[in-house]
Amino acid sequence: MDSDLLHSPAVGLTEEEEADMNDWKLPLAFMKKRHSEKIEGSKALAQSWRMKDRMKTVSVALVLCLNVGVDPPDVVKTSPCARLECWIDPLSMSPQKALETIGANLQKQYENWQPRARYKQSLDPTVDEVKKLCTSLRRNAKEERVLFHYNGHGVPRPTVNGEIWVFNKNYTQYIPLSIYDLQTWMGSPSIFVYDCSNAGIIVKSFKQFALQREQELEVAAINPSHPLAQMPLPPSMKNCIQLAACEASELLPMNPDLPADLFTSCLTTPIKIALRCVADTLPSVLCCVWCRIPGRLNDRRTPLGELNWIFTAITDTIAWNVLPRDLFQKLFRQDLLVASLFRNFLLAERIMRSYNCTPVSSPRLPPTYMHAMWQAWDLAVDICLSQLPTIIEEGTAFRHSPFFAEQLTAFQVWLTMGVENRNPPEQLPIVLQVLLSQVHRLRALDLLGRFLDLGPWAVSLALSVGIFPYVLKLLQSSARELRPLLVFIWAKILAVDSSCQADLVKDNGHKYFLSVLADSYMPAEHRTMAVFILAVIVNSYNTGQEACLQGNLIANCLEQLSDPHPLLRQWVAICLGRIWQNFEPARWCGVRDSAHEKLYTLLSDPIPEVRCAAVFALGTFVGNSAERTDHSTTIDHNVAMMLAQLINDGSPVVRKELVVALSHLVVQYESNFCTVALQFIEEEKNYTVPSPANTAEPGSLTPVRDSPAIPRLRSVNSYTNIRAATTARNLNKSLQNLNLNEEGRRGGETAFSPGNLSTSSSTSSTLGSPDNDEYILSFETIDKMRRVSSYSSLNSLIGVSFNSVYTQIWRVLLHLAADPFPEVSDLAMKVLNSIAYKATMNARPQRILDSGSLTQSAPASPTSKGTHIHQAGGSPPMPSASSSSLTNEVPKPPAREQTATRPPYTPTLGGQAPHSHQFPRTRKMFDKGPEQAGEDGDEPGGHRNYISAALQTGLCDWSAKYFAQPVMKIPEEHDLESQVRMERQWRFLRNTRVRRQSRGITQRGVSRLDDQIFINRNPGVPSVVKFHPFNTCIAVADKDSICFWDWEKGERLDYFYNGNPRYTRITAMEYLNGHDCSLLLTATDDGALRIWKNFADQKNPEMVTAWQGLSDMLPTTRGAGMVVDWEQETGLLMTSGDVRVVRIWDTDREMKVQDIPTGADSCVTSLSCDSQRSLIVAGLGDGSVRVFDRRMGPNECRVMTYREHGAWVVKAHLQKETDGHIISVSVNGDVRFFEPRSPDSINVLQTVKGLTALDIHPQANLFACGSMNQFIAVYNANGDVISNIKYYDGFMGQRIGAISCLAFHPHWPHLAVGSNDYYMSIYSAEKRLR
Amino acid sequence: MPQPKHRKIAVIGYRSVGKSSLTIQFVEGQFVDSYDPTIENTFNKLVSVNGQDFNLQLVDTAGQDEYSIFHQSHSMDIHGYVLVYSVTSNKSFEVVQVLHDKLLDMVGKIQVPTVLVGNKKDLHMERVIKPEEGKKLADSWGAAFMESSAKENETAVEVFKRIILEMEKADGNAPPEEKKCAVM
Repeated sequence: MDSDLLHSPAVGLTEEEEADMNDWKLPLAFMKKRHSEKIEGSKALAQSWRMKDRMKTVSVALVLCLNVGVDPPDVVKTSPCARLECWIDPLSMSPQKALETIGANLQKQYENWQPRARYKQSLDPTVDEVKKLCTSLRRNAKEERVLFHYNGHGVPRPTVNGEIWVFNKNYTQYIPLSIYDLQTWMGSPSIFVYDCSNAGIIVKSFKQFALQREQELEVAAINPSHPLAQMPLPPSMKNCIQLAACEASELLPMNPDLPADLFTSCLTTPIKIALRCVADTLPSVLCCVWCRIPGRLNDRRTPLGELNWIFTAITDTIAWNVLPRDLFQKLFRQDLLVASLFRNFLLAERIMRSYNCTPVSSPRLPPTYMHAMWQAWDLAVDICLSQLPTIIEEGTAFRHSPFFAEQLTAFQVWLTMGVENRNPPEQLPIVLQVLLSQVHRLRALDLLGRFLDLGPWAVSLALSVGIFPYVLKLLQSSARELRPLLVFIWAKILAVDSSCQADLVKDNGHKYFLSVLADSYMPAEHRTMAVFILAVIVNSYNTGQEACLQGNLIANCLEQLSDPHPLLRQWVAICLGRIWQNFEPARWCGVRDSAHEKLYTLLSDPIPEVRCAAVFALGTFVGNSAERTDHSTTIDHNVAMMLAQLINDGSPVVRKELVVALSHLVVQYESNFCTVALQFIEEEKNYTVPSPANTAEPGSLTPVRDSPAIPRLRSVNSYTNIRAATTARNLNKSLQNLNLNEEGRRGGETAFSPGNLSTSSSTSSTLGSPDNDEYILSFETIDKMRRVSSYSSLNSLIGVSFNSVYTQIWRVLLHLAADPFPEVSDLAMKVLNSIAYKATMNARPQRILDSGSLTQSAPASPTSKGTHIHQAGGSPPMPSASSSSLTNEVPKPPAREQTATRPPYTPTLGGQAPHSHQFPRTRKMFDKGPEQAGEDGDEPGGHRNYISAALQTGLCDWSAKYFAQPVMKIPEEHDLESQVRMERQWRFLRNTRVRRQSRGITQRGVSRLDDQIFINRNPGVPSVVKFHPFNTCIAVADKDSICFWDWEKGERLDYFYNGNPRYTRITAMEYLNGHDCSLLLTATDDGALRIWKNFADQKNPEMVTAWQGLSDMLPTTRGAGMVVDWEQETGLLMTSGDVRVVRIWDTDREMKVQDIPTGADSCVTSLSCDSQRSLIVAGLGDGSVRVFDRRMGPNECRVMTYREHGAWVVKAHLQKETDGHIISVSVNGDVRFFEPRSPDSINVLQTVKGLTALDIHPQANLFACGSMNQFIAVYNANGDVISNIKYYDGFMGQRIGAISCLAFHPHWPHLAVGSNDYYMSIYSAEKRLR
Repeated sequence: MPQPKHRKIAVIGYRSVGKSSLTIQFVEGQFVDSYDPTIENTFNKLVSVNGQDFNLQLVDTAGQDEYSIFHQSHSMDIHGYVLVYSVTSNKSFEVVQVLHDKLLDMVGKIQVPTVLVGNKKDLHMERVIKPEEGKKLADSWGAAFMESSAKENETAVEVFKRIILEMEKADGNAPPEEKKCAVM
């Protein structure tokens, strides 16, 4: 495209180009995460990072066999030879003195790493002394680790038989000491350090003996009479760690420049030995100063301390990068001393290998001596040493090493560059080290946060490296600049591993986040994370709830409820919902602050997730298992009634949450609901037998239906939950008579419905064996109850109580059980059935009573405050709604003493409750036999939460996933190279091509339109046809299914069931997002809207969302069903039909935004809107065409009414131009043109009579009429007939059927026609257009 | 009764040829069949040979090999040496020759009172050194030779009697029998 055009799009662009540009700007509907993802949490992280068994090395045995002055017989020493032991020349003093000094030094060297252990020296010991030492240390250490250090420089080399050497009392002989014995004395867990030649032999023998022990253990375990089993069992040696100075075949180096105990030096004085080893290579000025680096090892600000710190960081990093994770955890994170020794062991490997000696460890480590990190160490040493002369001689200040800053830079580079799939960053352990330093902390936290943002894997990686204690400690910091970083990091951690809640509360970490939340200067994003963290802390964790309640969390949250940041609102609500979940004090705190009333405002929030969160919070608010008072009951009722208003919310996520919230209420007031349920069941029974539904049912308004009175089973289809199918089953004998009625009738009908066969067979088979069934209430029972209760005035039959809150909530649930979204209805069915089950089980003994068998239990009266009323609510057995528990569970009689625990019945409720249903429980004991009481009475509280525990939407966990996933990453679709973007680009190119080519044809003028380019027999009678605007797909709906055809290839792409109940039919369809990722919207005449994706491309069609677009459809003799008009630009969906309003839905918010009363007594048959002008045009069944201005109030928004048509308006169309006209046509065939401002038509054309369908081509100025008299006529704008189609093409030339529907392609001059003879044909202006 | 003569004898040889066993058999009359390498051990025993009492001090040394540095203490104040090899070990036979050379170097004499002992003669099956080889070596040194078994007390006693005689010979006290012969 020309750059000039880009600069002045309004002037330079043609209309067509503008449309192409618009493709990129058009908003997409129903493409949010809540539509594409399953609403559930991510899988819990396997907790590999947390050390289940942190250990300490509490005792250390230092065994030195030096026998100073006498060399062992089997070692030939060079002359001069390495002599230093623990940096002491043993020959510089008397042998005894030397031995003692060396022993003391060794202890000091170890104490640097573990100052608090119990150290015991054993100098030139005998076997007995070693035994005594080891056994006593083990005894004191109990389950903790013991270290055994062995220096064998003055005794022979270890033998292949698995012996090391000690002395006899007189030092005249070397006495062998078996490793087997040593194992026995040392026990487990232990760590062994061997500094002697051929030390590898010991490791081998050790393993052999360990194996032998295992076998002995096995033998003893299998055969208790075996002699081995009689002896005390030898300890298992599996958990022992060994460090040996060299391989089995190697001698220790004797280089006189090195200490004789090089291995010990490496393990205990790594910095000194490392410097000593470079000293040889130094220039002479430094030769003598290497050992004079100033400072202290444990002070990081001094040169020596810094070097030590770098050494720690480097060895830790190498280990983390090279070792397998579990081994790293075990050796480097479990035990402080072990970790230090292993870090130093890495140095030993590096140094000793250069002297042809290979230190050995068990468990064996991968080689680390060549790791690139060592070069960083060499550099750090060099930089340090190079400063020494000036520091020592001139006293200049020490320059700190650039090591940590450089490593952080490397980490930063790793973060900013490179691809997704790569090795974890080498520097991660260094970042951890750096968190300790004030200098680098801020930068390190920032980088760490960015790393954690990469996803859960990064979080678990960071946790496994040991980040946790560090960031926990940092919460004690008061530095404000750390707050955003720490909040971010903690949100990431808790999103992955919520078990950290306990650690946080233990360390008072929650206070940190409470103060962040209360900090109004903190950006909303960070307050959101803070409240998320708090929401995790209080999640099902009583200690956390208590701590946060004391920290004033509730007031804090309530203040933020109206924050403009939606995510913050959402999480504040979730946090509130969690803090008072099963936690009465928090609930009361909420009541005092009128939290529930403040939450009400969120119920109409524009963001569905926020509404959801509010519903969740209110649900847990009422679903508290504690005792109720009048006051709390009133509040519960208020909340319930507020919640009930969401019954027709546009988002299924919200409605699902609503069911769960109401289920809490149901559990809370179970007895009341049981009563209501029984009334409904009884009522429904009475209602069915005379079957007044035939005349009164709303379903009977549709002219096309097969058998109006009987609602059909919901049928199974690939996409629906299998459970939905089983809902039809019936369990209870007491309900069977009711169902038999239906079974009988259903038998003849099932054959009609294509998707229905499997269900019908299952119902008939289960009829004989009701025990296997799941549900007491079948779908149709519930559906009938719902409709019965909504449309007949039953109140008179039942009494005043019927209108109680419980009744209304019951109705809401019945309504939700028939929700078009299967997950919602399933959930509601579960709740209804669990109550119905209880109600009928409770009702049974009542019959026994009625028959007079148990006269001593008189029905309770509300004034008697009889305990046997109340115990029903005290702790009722709550059968789960799931199939397994329902089938197995017998009603559990409560323990007797419980009956008294319930507070007196509140008079308000008692007055309302019908007496006859109130006294079930005590008598059930007679029914079931008393032996059951003892069995079940021991867990009275356990059943109460059964429903609520089972029912969850997963919303909170799903919302938490937001924090687990990258938030800083640019979305994939913004990446020009991404697949998503490429596909989109391709689609837009396709759109451009279609627009250009079709425009070419239509501009030339269409002179005839009768070339039949496609014909096929549709599986059902076509009721709606809809061209996809850009691809070659056409959707054809019959009554309850949609068929997709490729009209170019002439093949069927897909055919699926829409899921609408049997007595309803599809009356409208729209393609949403047609320019991009297409969705299909279907509207049925019961007011339900369903949106589908993944159709027509071999994938399984999936329901994206569904909701009740219109409720309370009015029964009419001839209905228009539901009509819709979709506007992609604004995401607005206009709906109307057999109602008295035009309802406008905002699909972005998934909410109803406006109800415009039509002011007519007739149904709306056609809708057309233009948001530019805020106009909506509706054609009505009474022949009027009405124009509404959306901007005006409901009473004056009807700006024009044309009453020129004498009959049913087939189509009313508003041209989408600034001065577009209204074109409308009635069944009489009079096409009228209106100018919206003038009260009369400006033009009239007469077409055929008996019109059934009409469509207007938006580009080509054509309109096509379909007649019930089996022909189609196509007119141009002047009203001239250009084509008249009566026969199908082909040899037989069969007459076409009565036209049921027709539609133009929005771009091509194609006309799709469906007729009553099942055929669907497409006519075009020219054959072979492309 | 003449004063007992004080004599110090070193037992030298390769590792595990039976130096300590031989010594303990002689001193205590028992056989030690466990092997605990000796660092250095000194035994005292009063014996009478040809009517002369000897206060023997036996230095049981640590086993040595050809590379071992010959300890200085073994060359001073020692009156006689028992060089032991095992008839079952070629190595020990080679080492004993090296040790003899080192010994002579250290004491700076051409000849010292020495008995070459081929120990473990009871292990017939494992014998690799013939008595003739030992005899030949001893002759080349001008030393006495005998084979022994530390399991039998007699041979152990015999070994130490023999070294006493050798020492006496070196001191110029020819055995009485020979003297007698000479007189005759």
